[in-house]
Amino acid sequence: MSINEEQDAVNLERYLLFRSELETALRGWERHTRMNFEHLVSLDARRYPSGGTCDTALAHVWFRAQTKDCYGSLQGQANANGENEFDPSFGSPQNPDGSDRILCIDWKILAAGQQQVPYFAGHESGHILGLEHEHARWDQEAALKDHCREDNYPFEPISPDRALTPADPWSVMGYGECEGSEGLRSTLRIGPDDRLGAYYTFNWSDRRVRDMAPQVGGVAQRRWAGDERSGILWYLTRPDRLLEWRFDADQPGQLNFETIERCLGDSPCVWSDDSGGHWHPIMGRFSGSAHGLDVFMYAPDERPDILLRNQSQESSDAFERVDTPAPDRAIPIVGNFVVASGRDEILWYRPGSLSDHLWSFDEAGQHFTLELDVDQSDYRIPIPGHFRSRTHATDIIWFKPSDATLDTWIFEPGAVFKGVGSAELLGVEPGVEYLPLVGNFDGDNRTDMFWYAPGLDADYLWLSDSNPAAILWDSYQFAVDGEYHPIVGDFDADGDDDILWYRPAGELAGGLSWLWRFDGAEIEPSALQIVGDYVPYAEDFDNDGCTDILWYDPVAPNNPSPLWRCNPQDLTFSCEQPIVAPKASYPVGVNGRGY
Amino acid sequence: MRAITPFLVILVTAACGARQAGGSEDLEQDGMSLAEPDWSSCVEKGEVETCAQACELEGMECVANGCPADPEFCDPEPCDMATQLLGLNEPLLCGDEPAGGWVASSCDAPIEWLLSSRLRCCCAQPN
Repeated sequence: MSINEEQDAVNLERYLLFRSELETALRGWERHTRMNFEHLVSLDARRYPSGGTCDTALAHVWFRAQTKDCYGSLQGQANANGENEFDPSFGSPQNPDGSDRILCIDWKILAAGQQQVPYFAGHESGHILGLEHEHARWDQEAALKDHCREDNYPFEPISPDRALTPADPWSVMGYGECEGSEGLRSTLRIGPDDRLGAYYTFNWSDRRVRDMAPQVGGVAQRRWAGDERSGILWYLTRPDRLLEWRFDADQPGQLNFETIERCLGDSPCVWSDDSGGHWHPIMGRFSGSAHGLDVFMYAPDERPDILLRNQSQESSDAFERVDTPAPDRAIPIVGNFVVASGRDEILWYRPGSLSDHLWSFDEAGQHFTLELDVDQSDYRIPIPGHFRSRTHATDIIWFKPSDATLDTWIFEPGAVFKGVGSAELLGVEPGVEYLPLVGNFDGDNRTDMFWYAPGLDADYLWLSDSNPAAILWDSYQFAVDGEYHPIVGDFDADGDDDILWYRPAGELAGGLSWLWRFDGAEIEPSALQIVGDYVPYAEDFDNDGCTDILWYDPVAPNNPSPLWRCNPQDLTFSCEQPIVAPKASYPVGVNGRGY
Repeated sequence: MRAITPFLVILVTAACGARQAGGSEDLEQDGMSLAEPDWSSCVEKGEVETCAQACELEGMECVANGCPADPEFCDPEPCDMATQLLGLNEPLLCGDEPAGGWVASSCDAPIEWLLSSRLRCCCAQPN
């Protein structure tokens, strides 16, 4: 058999277009969620654009991207979503003939509608996240196209409890030809409110351990053992379990850890009443010590919410279960807002409503609601930090991406003081995609922010120059071109935070990664190459003040994950033997993209 | 990644055209001598747009850069006398020993509130 070179070149061009736009869209979603999509390039067969050899019956394949079987007149389609994540009728090693989870962009779009490919890549991958059609939020009675009436007809207004964001005419999840939606398929892209909805769904705040002052009992590590040893608490789902990797306290040589099953009191260590994969484990110092963090298992729906109270300082590795029904459909924000003891509170933020609550906990893990005005009715990204100083209560800056406005709250005993302003004066522009990275980049113990704009837009470093009465910033412009996964840590043990700009080299847009070591507003860059597509977990495992990285790979057979150990003396990382991580798990408190 | 070129863009509460000021000549405006200037009482965001208006609310006159400032938190740098004092923490800003962000500016400079919600201005009683 011979290859028709002309047809082969066409196939290659279309393969690259499909791949490039889908990778771009998925990176866009990844940046605002805790998700990581890994493109298994070795399974691609670009000469077979209908789907190649990628088989959803393989254990490590979640969905397949293809050009055939966009059913009927559909130009794009996705049938993979949260509802069928655990559906046994779909393909798996146990059911190799099961249905396929697919994302489809029709061949004719790749041939004659290439300007629309970014829209379909963003829209169909949005369905994979679980996002619904945005035009369903408007009555389609008068719509000219029948397909506008597929979702919510006869029209019923979307309940505020189901709405993630305000109705968005420019959402990539809308059909521009339908009532309410605007724009064209050649121009619509993942927008600010799309990203906000993804953030609300898949991100949740944890205690920012690196943002706590030692003077008030802060510890810059995630510790679960009740002492000086740092660790990783793995959350394994279905059935639910917690496994701790407890690292030795002093490790001049090889990095050693022991694995400890963290059970619930006298209950079996495998929990029988899991929430069906709905739990968000929220890490915080709610009841006790920063050396033995608690976990709040929050189910955003009606399933049970429980506080797992860490008893390690009481010489027990078992967590105590405290049933704690929490508000549904809320975004938990963890910070030390009020209590001088150093313990954390949870602010239950319900975007778009006026029913937010601030909870504090006592030593037994019992919660009580604080009588403070903490209602935030707008749709915003909460950025907790110690912008005034780490010896003050946690402040919150509420950022609205669509108009770049900021609400600022500072907490003082018995009061919340609120201000409203615009980030534009400091360079941050409305509608531009930003990741507000939080860290102490100049080492002055006040939280700073790096406004990273993926792509070509300007980036800004805001160094806090605040005092107890006012939040003030010095702004510096940077140019970070390209799309990176930023990791904040102290990679040279000099007491201030640095940024590792990680870029998986295997993607079309891949390339070098960069490490920025900060010295005030100056940076010293150095290049790194990281070939794999990993979930990085940054932590100082060996207590030398220098942040190490576990490059967690949940996809590779047996899950071997490389571990980079930071060497502060010679400003390098050393590669330890890869560690086999638990299957179908993730670390509690794993960072999102730094915000 | 192209070259990284950090540079100072804007200082938070910088007011364009502000001048460093201090000294007795500031106590004379339009040929009128003024009593010793002091910080006004606090006004809320939205009540005024300039310090001239804030002082007028109290029957006073604004004194440009006539009140002492903490140089560490005074913009544009360097400055140790200011016209505006902005903040969020009401007890600290509005108390006897005020703290916040100081701005050296003219009396007619628009207030750049940014993250602040309350303001004091440097005012004096006209003689």
